[in-house]
Amino acid sequence: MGKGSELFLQCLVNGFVVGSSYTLVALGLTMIFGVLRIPNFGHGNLLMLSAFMTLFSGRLFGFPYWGATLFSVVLITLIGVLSYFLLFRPVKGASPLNMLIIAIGLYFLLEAIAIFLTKGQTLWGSVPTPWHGTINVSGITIGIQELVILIFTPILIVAVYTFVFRTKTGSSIRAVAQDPMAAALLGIREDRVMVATFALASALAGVGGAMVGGVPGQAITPTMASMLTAKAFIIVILGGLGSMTGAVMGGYLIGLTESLSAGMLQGYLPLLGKGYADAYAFILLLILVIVKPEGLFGEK
Amino acid sequence: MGFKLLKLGVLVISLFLPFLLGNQYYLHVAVKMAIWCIAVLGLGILVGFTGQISVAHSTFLGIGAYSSALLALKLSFPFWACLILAGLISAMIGLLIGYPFLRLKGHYFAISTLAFCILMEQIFSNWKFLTYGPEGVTMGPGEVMGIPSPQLGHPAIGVFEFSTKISYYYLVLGFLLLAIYVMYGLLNSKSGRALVAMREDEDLARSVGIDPTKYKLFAFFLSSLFAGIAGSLYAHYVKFLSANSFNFLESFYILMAVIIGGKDSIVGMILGAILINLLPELLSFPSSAPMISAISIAILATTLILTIIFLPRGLIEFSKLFRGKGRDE
Repeated sequence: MGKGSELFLQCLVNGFVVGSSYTLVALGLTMIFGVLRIPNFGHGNLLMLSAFMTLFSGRLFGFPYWGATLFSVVLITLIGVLSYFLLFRPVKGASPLNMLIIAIGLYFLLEAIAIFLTKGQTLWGSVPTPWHGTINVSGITIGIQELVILIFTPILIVAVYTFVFRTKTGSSIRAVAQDPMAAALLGIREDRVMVATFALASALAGVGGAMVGGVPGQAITPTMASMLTAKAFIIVILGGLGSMTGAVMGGYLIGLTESLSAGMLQGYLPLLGKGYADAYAFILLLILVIVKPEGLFGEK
Repeated sequence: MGFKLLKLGVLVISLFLPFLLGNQYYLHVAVKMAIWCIAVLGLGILVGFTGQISVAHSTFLGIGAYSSALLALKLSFPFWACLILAGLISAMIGLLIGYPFLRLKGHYFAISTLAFCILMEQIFSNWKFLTYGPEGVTMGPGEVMGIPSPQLGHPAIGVFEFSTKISYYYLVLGFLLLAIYVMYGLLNSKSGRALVAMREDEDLARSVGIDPTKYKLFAFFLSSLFAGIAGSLYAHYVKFLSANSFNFLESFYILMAVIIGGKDSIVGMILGAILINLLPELLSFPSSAPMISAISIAILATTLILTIIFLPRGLIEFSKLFRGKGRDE
């Protein structure tokens, strides 16, 4: 195999790994948007908090990686549901502007909790997992933890789809997302739908945090999810607000774009250097809002 | 009546503040706070008048700061020219961005400004032109150093340099008062009334001949102008710029000041700006640095949330309890 195609495949794999965490956050974000009609700025920070919880429960209680992950996912799910009851429910019916501000408040609260837990220290390193080591397949290097992310994320996505499209709770989530008034008239209890949505979305971010936190070399810091949060928004907008398929496609698309352009195009165009890797998603969005304001997969 | 007296009292205190604060550090906090107030008022024009949330306000602060610093360092422009150009460059970019963005509704607008903010942060920290100083010295990514202090006068008759904290305080206070004056002027002008009418009911405003897009653009223009000028004042005060100072979290903080204080009231917004700047300072005695930031972030976030739940018009609503009914403006 030529050197160029090896590099291409390596970038492809890296893109899918990065895209996985984008997808997990974006999927939750778009579901919450569907039922609550607000972009929840705090959502991405749940992933960060989950990475911390996994790390701490491992260290403090001596949980193995699986136990720590389970503990963290349950805790993050609870925090997500609690955020609905304490923050979003009291301002039900408020202006979109105020709802947005509440979400920003949640972002900062979660960040404050993380700084508090770590006492501000940043040198935490990654979560210890049983899978450290890498495998080589014809010149491409993949960490085993990354392989776990690659395989496990699509399984999660399928599980979420099954839940949303095959169960009764799932169809009531879709009903509320489609038309809250009609759903209420049909006797669908809004609180129940909200709890289910927040729980599912938070659990996704929770699993994402536990998996991403385990990648060797991943620094776990209170601000590690700030760029992720922002990108998840862009992905959700690109995919059309509220569209699950859009979020999944968009998440992988942005991950691949970043990885391929940083790896392959570097040196060809001055603007496409490594330093700008984080910028592509935002450039894409800026073009999109000018050309097609309803999103790639969204309806008019 | 009582409220007017309060405003007068705040004005008098702000005029004599450097003499009341014995400590140079407190004066430094006061200067930063005053610069911040100008930026917060700028965002207030947009949020208060149009009901649109921009999360790119710190970007315009950054555009003003970098423009001003580079004009001074690379082209040796005098401070006053830098200041005016910084304001105008920022305002022009505001117009350019505002034109496509302001057609978007609600959340799309907010998230597009978020995208713009992050894109510009990347540009600030990667643009090679910015990272080299006048002597070709390489600094960290997106860093600019050695920005000169503002000067007033002519070499023939003597030059006054705003190099001390106390002189800079009065310089910034002058601009802050000017900003407040402009805002009151705007409120009582035809454009201001058109903006208020538009916020209250866009369709009705349109029916009496107010062009919403035009007035929204005007509000965005003014908002970016304020931010650009605040950015220039910031650059020539701290003399060192780093791209990190203009990230979207900074925008969140500015937005927080507007909302906590009260987006419909000039006094409210200034109150919010003071609160956000003062809180970390007040907490700095009992605990270590990371704890201060954790506690102050937690307090600010809680205040923000409680404000939205109980006082949607901001803390300034408290003042109504003493004044009976009627709006501030």
